[in-house]
Amino acid sequence: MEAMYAFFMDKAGMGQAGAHVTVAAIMATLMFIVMALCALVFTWMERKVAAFLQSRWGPMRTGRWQGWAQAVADMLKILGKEDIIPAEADKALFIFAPLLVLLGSLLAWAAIPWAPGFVAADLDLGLFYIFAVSSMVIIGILMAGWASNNKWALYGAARGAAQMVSYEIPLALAAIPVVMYTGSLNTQDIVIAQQGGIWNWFIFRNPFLFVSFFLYFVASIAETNRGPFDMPETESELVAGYHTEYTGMRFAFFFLSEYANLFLVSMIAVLLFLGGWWAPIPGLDFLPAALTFVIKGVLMVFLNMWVRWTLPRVRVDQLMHLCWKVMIPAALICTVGAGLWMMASGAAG
Amino acid sequence: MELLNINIPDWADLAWWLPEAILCGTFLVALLADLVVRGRRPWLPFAVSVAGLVTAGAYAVAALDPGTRTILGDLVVVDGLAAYFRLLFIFVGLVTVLFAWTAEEIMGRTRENKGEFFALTVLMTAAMCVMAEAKDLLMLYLSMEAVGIVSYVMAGYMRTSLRSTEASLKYVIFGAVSSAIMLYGLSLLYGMTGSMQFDGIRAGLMGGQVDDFGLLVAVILVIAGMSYKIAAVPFHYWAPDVYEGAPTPVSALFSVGPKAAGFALMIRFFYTTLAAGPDAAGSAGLVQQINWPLLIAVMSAVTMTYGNLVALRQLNVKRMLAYSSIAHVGYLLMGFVLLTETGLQAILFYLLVYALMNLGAFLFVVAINNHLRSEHLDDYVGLGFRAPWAGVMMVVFLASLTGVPPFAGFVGKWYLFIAVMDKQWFWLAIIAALNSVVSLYYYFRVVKAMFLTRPAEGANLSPLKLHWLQYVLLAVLAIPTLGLGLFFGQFTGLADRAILMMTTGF
Amino acid sequence: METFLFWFCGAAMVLGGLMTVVQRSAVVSAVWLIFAFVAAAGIFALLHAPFVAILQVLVYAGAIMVLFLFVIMMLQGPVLEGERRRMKPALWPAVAIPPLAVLVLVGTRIADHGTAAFTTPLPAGFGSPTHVAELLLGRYLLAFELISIALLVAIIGALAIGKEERKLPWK
Repeated sequence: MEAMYAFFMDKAGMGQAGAHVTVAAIMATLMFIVMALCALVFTWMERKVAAFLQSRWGPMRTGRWQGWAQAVADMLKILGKEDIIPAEADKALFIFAPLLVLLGSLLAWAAIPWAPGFVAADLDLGLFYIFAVSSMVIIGILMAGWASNNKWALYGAARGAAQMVSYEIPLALAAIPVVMYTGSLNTQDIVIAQQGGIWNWFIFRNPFLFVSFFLYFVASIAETNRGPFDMPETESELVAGYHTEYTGMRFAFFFLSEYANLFLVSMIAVLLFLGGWWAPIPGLDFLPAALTFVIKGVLMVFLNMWVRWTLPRVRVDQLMHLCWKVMIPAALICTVGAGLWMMASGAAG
Repeated sequence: MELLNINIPDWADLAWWLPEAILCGTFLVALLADLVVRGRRPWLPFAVSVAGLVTAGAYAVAALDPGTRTILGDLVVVDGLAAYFRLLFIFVGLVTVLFAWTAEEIMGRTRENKGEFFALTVLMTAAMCVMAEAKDLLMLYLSMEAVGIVSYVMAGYMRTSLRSTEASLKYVIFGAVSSAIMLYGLSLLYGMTGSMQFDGIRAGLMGGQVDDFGLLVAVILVIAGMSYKIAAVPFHYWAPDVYEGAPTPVSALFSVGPKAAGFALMIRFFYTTLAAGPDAAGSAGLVQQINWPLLIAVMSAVTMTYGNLVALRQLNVKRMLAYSSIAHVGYLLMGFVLLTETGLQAILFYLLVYALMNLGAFLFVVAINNHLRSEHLDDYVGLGFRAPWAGVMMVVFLASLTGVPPFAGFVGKWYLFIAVMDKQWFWLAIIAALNSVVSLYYYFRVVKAMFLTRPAEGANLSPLKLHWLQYVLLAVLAIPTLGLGLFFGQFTGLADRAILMMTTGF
Repeated sequence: METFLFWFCGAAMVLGGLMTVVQRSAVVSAVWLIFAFVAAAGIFALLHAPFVAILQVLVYAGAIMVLFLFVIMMLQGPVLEGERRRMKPALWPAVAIPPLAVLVLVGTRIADHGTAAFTTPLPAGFGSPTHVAELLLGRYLLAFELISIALLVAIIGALAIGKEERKLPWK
């Protein structure tokens, strides 16, 4: 990043503001491309993982190897579809909602530290910022559900909003012990604090953090509205939930954002608990930092998919019970416990 | 980490804040007690609440002469004014809790959330105390909001009753609007002076630099927000409906508690930030463009006239009392016109008297409602003979509310009149006097119905047996209403000291 | 640059507030309110209070407005007569101009007088989470506790008034 700034300021002769704008534009484009790639790769991966877990093959024909081009074909099909806006829809909101959903994901991606010094927005409050902007997604979903003027969509949106607002709390609470250890909300600082092999990763620092990791993982599944917490889009009861009425490009936005969020929460899990870009053992140091980071992220995504295709869907009241009566108290206990552990072990300043 | 020098509150300060701390603790304990008995034995939270209020009251009495202490991070000040008001609030809270215990509207067989009611009353008392103590815009607003939130809940307490729900909703909406208005004014004040402390604002205003027009807007907005709290015209719209719809013990509390707290807040805020100085005339001496005394005087005159004239037409006793309480705000504002010490002392004394007589009148309505399920004037016919003792005490309260000698209301009003006549505001005094005459009509219409009107043929004339606690409480309120009219020296002395402590302490 | 951003955010906020009030559909109003909140967050950021700015987005634009939208959508109250009718465009200025005039007047006059109180340089660490925490749990602890109790009351009140004893089918 520093190098990029230096390049645009000195070599290209731009002013400071100009360099900032240019770098921001480049990073935004880059993020968007990576997001699109994510969606492509993960749709294919999801189908293969699902097939694997169900003892079948999944897509095998399109493209030669393992049906890899199926995702591309799907994407082209989606983009080629007719763009329909229901006659009774609230047009402005209907058009605006998918953009807002995508915007929320994209903004959150900006604070992900891919490698030392390589982060689009190096904010002191990075983690906090991620949680804040990703709440935009919820509003987008609600708007989509309302604007569609369709009862399935509205139910889906209402479920989604209730679920995401609730699970945001354990999600953020589970991250607090990590922040306590690091003493910073800067995503880079958090990763740097985990340097030095797998035993310095926060997940293994103390038992409370270990529990926190699982709380975070469960909450993150709920945040992304994926199984077993996929009530907002249960096809058996709600057709497709909040995006029932969406087609073509607008649907693609939701689709894109879903996989972008999946990768986002996985990457946050990696940077909070799994050592970010640090290799687990010294022997793997030769891999580039960003690659290590992405591999870990993809493994987390795999874990997520595994859970999705293994566990049955929970009921709405079970979902809320789990959040408010189990996970939030547990997360609070972990926070306090981690604090006490820090005091006892002398880690607290 | 090197930051601003952080002022951490000194926990030893809590010793000066014990009554409030006890009340907050009582609130939590009462809630837990209710949780433990699963809402089935309301006597437990009731007993906890009474015990807490009595303990807090005892401490408040012990700390009646606290000097002037700015405590807990300079957010609150405990001085004579605060000590006076917190005693008043704890008394009002205690009476409300005790009376609610005997009120069918709260404790009836089909009612729910009985335990919560007592806990909420205790908390409201605490929040009102903080209102009287606040010396920081933050605390000012937060304490008002705390009182407001409790009020909204209590107004809608009878949730199966449409009237009660309507009352709560109206209260919430008007409350939110007025809070927003006041908050805007406060933020302008903060923006212009750079301080949230009352004395800091004063210093900022003294320093010049502050834009007159902005200040004018800010002060008007703040006055509007506070006028809502005390239900002065033109911010009174919510009051009659809320008082009528809420359960009567709650109306009794509303008509006295938040109103007195609002006055306490106004006195402290205007006196310590905006008044030109202890001796100069003018409610907001530092804001020059408007003739403030005239503005407040007009507000006062309009409020009392409006309240009295509309009360004339009411046949529902509760609603009539609601309008009468608006009228009384008008009288009280008389003491506020010139912000003189005499005026403020008169307000303090009148608030005490008003608390006694107004609570008494409302509690009579509660007692009657227990039996008749009605507050209509027609149903009051013959009550004087069905419940003679309570009836006589009601006459005492009504006479005192009118301001007839030798009752306490007369003395209270007398002080208020003196405060304005001292500075030659005769027209206001004359309007107030005329208003008292008008109020005679509707107060004594109740007396007439109770004692003089001949009951219709076949009307039920069996004697009413009131709860023993109701007799005790009515007597507790009626005796001082009578006694203060004759032996008021002691209590006016208390009010004088309270104001003196505030004015000299700052 | 900062001045420009301030006026930009300020104008956006006023616009958001205005549209919130003017819009007839409750949902659209709520969306405009979110817009206003985000603009307010921008102003906080300009005031060197990034923590408060993010909090504004997280709590107000995120959580609270979601609940607002949620309630509006779920209740879907009857559309009132006045709600269906649009305000005549000719009336817009009549509604908007007086408050705006006061706002601008106050704003410019305050700006004219300068903000002497705020020109002191900011101490290091101003507006950081640590700073906010020290103020909140230090000097303003009492206010903090007062808020927590007020919110507790609000929760209890909402439960007491709103609860409904209803047997769920699976219980």
